[in-house]
This record gives sequence, structure tokens and C-alpha cells, in this order.
Amino acid sequence: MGRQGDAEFTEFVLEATPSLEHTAWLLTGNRDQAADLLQSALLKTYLAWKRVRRDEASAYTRKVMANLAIDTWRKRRDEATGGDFDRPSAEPGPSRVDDHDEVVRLLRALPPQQRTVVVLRYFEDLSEAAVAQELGISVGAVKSAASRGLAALRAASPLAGRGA
Amino acid sequence: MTREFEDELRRQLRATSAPSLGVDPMDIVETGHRTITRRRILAGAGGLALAATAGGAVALTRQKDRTPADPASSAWKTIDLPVPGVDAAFVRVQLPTTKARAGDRYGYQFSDESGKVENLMDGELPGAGQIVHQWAPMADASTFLAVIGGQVQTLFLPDEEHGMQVRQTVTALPDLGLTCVVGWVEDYNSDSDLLSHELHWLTTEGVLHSNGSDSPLPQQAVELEGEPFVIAADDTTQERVLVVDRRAGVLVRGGSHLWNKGEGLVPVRTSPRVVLAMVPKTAQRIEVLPASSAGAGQARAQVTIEGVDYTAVLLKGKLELLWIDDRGRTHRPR
Repeated sequence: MGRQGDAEFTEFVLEATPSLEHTAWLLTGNRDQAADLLQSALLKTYLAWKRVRRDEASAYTRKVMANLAIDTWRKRRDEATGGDFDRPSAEPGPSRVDDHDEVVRLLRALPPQQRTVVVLRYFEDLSEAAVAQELGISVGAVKSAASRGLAALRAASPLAGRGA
Repeated sequence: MTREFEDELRRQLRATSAPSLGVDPMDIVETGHRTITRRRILAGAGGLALAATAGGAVALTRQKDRTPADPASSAWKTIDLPVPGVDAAFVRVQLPTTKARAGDRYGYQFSDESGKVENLMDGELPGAGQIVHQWAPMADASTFLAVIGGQVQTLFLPDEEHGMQVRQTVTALPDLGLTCVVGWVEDYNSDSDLLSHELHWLTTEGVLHSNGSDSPLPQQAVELEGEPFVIAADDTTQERVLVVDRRAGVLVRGGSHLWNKGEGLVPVRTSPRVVLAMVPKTAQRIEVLPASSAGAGQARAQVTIEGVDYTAVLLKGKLELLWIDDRGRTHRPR
């Protein structure tokens, strides 16, 4: 990529990083994993930069991040469990979770696809159709994952007492 | 209740505080450069690694062998090229120094910043005039390897913005009495592989050669207002007409397969003197006219190449390539 493209990409990263960091953090609940996830997604975005419209760059990176997250979890899960992708995460939680970020701990207990759907649906405020498109799954699968994710969160969460 | 829970969940998610992940855009850009560089270097790489000598004695190092090549023969020429964005990395190219023929072998290695040497590829030198491929990026140029006039030549091309476009560079090879014009379509696929390139070269006598052949193209030299041109018919690169400004060494091309869609003429390149255009397969005659012409019809030259008549017209100022069909109608670039 030429100097101009590099400058545009750098400007994009500086501008979009706070929001993307937040998404990466919610998707992983772990600082190191979030950093790896965001770095990988930004690198893929850089390599595709000449095909990515500037006003869609954040959405493109977020989509890469969501799919990378699921791929990573799937790979780890396959290695650890022989491929049961829909089981709750068996990974250790974050070493330190602020009480304020209790919801991050609860998210982390969800199966990967449910977790990603919940983050995209309720943090990024994407429609069910948009989530389906980003993850390459059906709208029905999004509805199902969101419903089951919400149910699990409600059952385990102090949120339940406030909202339910 | 579900709606209330969803609203509360949204509020809670937004209230979370994400730690700083220490993302440095320059790190990503540098990693991106290295990735692209590596992809380019590896593009088209074969399974073997290194090398060859002129005269037919071939020494090969297999790809799994990480030992740097150490050509014993003085017939080797070794060039270390820096790799932009990767400190201490270089690409070592080893080529025959004397006359090479199609079928002789060449090779190169890549050394990263840790000093680890990797044999990247080797291959057989192609027939005359064919470009091996882009084999080593430099700071502001990419390098191609070709056999021209019976010798291995390295041709350096400026490395500019990516994206589909036609570019060309002119390289003088005085030892060979040649001016080489390397043109290429810079269009990268999703893996950043360069898709195509081509090579033409012009002898001091003004004879034009094109990809893949030592034989001159069917052509005719013309002089228009004291400016020497060569007009050639060339179907070997899916082009219909080549026009070369001999004095400037600038190649005026008749388009390429990537643009060869539909009727009409499509401007593909502008030089200080020439606008290039695609010529349909049905072209009967060619006129070279200035876009801002003060008047048509000056300095005409009739050219017949392989039974096809062309009319070359040159006026001062910017030139334009027009196609005149068999009914005499003039077509301008759209």
C-alpha cells in the first residue's frame, strides 16, 4: 500500500480503536485475547484496505473480529473438547474482573456464538438481519442464539432483578 | 419484561470499561507491509530453491535446506536487495553472469531480520522476452527478471499505489543496444498477487519485439513531423496495435485483455505526448491525433501491416488515438 493509503489507514485506526477495543473486550473478556483479536482484525483490514470503503471500515473490521472470535473459539474448543461448539466456555475467566464489568464475566460464560450474537445485537445495536449477515448465519440462528443467550444471562445475572 | 431486560443489558454493556489494548497503527502497517512483501515474493514460487549456472551445470538446493546458497562458480552474480519495512532483511538473488538461455536455472533466498535464511524459489529462465515475475520488492521499486537479447536482465519498476491500472517503465540496456519497455497491469487479487505484466523492447534500429518472442513484430517505422514512431501489429498479447515513440521510448499500447470488452476506445494511459487507447479487433485503420488539435490532417503517414492499413497522424500537442472503421467512420475514445 502506498503512503497515502497507509496514512488513511492510520487515521482510521486512531479514530476507530476505542470502539473496536470495547467490542473486542466484550467478545473475549480477556485483555490479551482482545488485543490479539483486534490486531488480527486490523491486519486483515489493512490487507484489504484498497477494497474497503472508508465509511465502512469500522463495520468491516468488526465483522472480521466477530468471525475471527468464533473461529478462534471453535478451534480451541475443537482441540479441547473434540468439537462441541455450543457448550459454554471452559476457558478460565479474566484474571481480574471489575464488579462493574460483571456483565463481561457473565458474557464469557456463554457459548461463543451466543456471546457474539449478544454483543453484536445489544452492544453494537445491529438488527437480527445485520447480525446474520455479519456472521454468515441465518436470521433464525441469530434469533435462537440471542434468545438462549438472554435466557442464560437473565438466569445468572443480577440484571434479572432489575430488568425482569 | 424481555424488552426491559434487553434495555438493561444494553445499558450495562455500554457501561463496561474496556482496557486499553495498546494498538499501534504503525505496528499494523509494518506487519501489513511485511505480509504483502512476503506474498509478493512467494507469488508463483515453486517448490525448489536455488540455483544455477550458465553453461548448464545446475546445483539445486531443496526448499527444506535452510543453508544459504554458496555458489562456487564465478559465473554467479549475487545481489542482496533490502526489503522495505523489515530491518536487516534482504533478498539474495543469484543469477548467471554470462549469457543465459531459456531453460537455465535461477534462484533466490529471503533472509528475515533474525537472520534466518529461507530458500524461496528457483525456476527455469523463460524464453526470450518473457518476464519471470516480480521477485523482489525494493524501497520504491519492484524488480522483474527477464531474458532479453540472450542475457538475464533485471528491470526495476516504480512501486506506486495499487489498484488496477496500466503502467510502464523504460529501461535502457546500452550493452545490448536495446530500450526495454516493461508495461504491466497492476491488479492485485485478494491475496495481493500481481496478475499480469508484459514486456516489449526496442532495438537501436527501431525494431520492436514483444512478449515471448525474439522475432520482431510485424511493423513499420514512420516519421511524423520529425518524430520517429514504430507502429506494429501484435496479437501475441491480445493487443491489436502497438505504437512506439522511438525518441522517448514510450510505448503506446493498443489495450489489453482486461479492457478488451465491448466496442469503442478506452483511454488507458496518458504520457506528456500520447493518450493511449484500446483498439477493437475490428479496427481497420488507426489515426494518431492530438486531443487539442488545431487542425486535423497534418503529418500523415500511411502504414500497412499484415494487410491492414493504418493512417498515423501527428500534430503538436497532446495526441489521441482514433479508430476509423471500414466505412470510414471515426470513433473517439468514450
